[in-house]
Amino acid sequence: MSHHDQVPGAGAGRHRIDRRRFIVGAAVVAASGTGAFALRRAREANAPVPWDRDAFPPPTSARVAVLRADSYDADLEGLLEDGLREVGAEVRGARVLLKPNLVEYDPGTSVNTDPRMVAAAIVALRRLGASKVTCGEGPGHRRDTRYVVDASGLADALAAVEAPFVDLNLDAASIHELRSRYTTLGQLWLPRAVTDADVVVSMPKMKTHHWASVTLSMKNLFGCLPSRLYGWPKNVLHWEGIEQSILDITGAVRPALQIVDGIVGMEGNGPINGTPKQAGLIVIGNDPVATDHTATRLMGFDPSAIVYLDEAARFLGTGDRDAITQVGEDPEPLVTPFVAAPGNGEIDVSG
Amino acid sequence: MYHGWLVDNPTMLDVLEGALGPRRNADGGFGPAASIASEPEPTAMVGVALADDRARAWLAEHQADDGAITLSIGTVERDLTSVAALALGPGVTRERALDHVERLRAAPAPATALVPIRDDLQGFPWTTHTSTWTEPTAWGLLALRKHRASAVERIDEAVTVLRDRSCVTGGWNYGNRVAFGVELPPFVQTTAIALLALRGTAEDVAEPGLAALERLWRDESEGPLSLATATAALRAYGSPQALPAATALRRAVAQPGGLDTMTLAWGAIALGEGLDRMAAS
Repeated sequence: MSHHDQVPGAGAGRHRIDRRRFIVGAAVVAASGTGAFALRRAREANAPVPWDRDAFPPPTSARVAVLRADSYDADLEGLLEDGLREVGAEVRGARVLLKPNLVEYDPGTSVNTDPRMVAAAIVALRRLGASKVTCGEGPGHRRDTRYVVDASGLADALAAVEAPFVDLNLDAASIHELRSRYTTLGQLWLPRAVTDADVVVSMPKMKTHHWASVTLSMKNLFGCLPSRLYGWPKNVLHWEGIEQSILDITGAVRPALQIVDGIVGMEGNGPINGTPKQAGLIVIGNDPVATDHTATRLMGFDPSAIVYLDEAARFLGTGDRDAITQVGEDPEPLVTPFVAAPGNGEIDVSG
Repeated sequence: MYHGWLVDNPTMLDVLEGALGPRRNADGGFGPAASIASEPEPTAMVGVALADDRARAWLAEHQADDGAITLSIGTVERDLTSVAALALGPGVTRERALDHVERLRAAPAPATALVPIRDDLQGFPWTTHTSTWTEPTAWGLLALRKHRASAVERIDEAVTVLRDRSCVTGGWNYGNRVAFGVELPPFVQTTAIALLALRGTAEDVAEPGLAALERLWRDESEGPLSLATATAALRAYGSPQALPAATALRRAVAQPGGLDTMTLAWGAIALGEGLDRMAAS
């Protein structure tokens, strides 16, 4: 079976896409700031690669499913179960950490991964055999995690499916030596819930981001770092460069699965003050780079123009469209152009 | 100064203090939650809440040669010296901590059209060599106003930072008044800490901050940390809303699930004598 083949059992109407067509018409998001410049320098000829080759073997089988869901009233459990099967999710007997995006809570906005999606993902992962599914997040802007979890509706959603929540800002943490060197940090402190999980599922909201252009499954991992050590917000990561930090954190956490909530995303002044965007999309993958590249194209942007996404494809996963097994819906007609965020690419050292 | 207020809440204070006791680790310090190794911040907060000598001893044992009390996270350090200085009793250890606090400055951050801030000011950072944010600046200001009033220039600068970062509608969030053309809203927890640091000064921002807190605390009452910090600040300012906030805190404490060490300590400070050791005056 080549990597272009469908997943056995894929549903009617699902087919391989023409990836060349998919990119046509995608807008370019400029990423021209200092961080992007530094990343580009890392790619200069003869420069040693800033990662340990033995720690990041070439990816083998990136699979990404694009699913349609017009609202959160859809059969999300069924959709997510199908999608996870289609990307070959292997969670039988596994302890799974599900990491949604709850950077803060602001009523009436689309900042957060929808709690209904989170609950549905938990049910789907259990159906696929996960031995335990825990939801965890370390909000970056709010110190009172209980407030964010309760007010956002996540607490009720988790209670309905009897799933535990771990505050990653307070969980026991341990040192993880970095095997990539985009930042100067050398090591990261990671919560026990992350390091003990057999499978980490990054579950972001599909959003534009005023510093990183887009925030998807890799940027979402900022919430894995404990704020009690890194601060609210995790400013040291901004000083090290958001894009560089995304790469090092993703290399440390290595989320095996990704579920992007794009049913209602956020466009414009994201990741906090943007406008809700009805996209009607769910993107599921087994490779964070492939998933984020696909989601970025669905947002109408060219991932190769977003430097951290382009750089990630060198070692963290597959960005090459021809190497991604695309399943589910044909994404081309589903491209829903998002309004880009202002100020893309500038380093965030603001206070 | 607030002792009479305790009359209505002794039982709850007992509950909070009783919950903190078993959290103590064998080394005398406290972790952020049960069964986690001791760290400076929760240890210092318990030290403030309960005037706890063992917590103070733990902090003293972990003081560096330059007076700093930090948590190392690789190439950077989370600096907790300000809150530790509030926990420590009078003496050389506290003075050395205050020396460090007085020296500690956030890295300059350039103002931009997108994030307009006064870039001539340096408050306090979360981690060494990073920029100014509300909460660490409030802690630095609080420590200096409480125990190093002679640090006039540093105190004035920190007050000016909080003035610069106060939200358009009053109160404070993590640290940005406006970003990308949007006026950002205040949060209860950060507003409460900033108010504690500004008590008795900077009425031009403290008064709207207090008004914001009195307006907002019910909206964030799902959060026990928000409730505890709000109660502390409302009580320190003599707000008539302190008692209803404390009542809501009582309900939150009774909820199942347990509370983290910081929230328990804040609850004890909000209701107990620890507020004397916390609020500037």
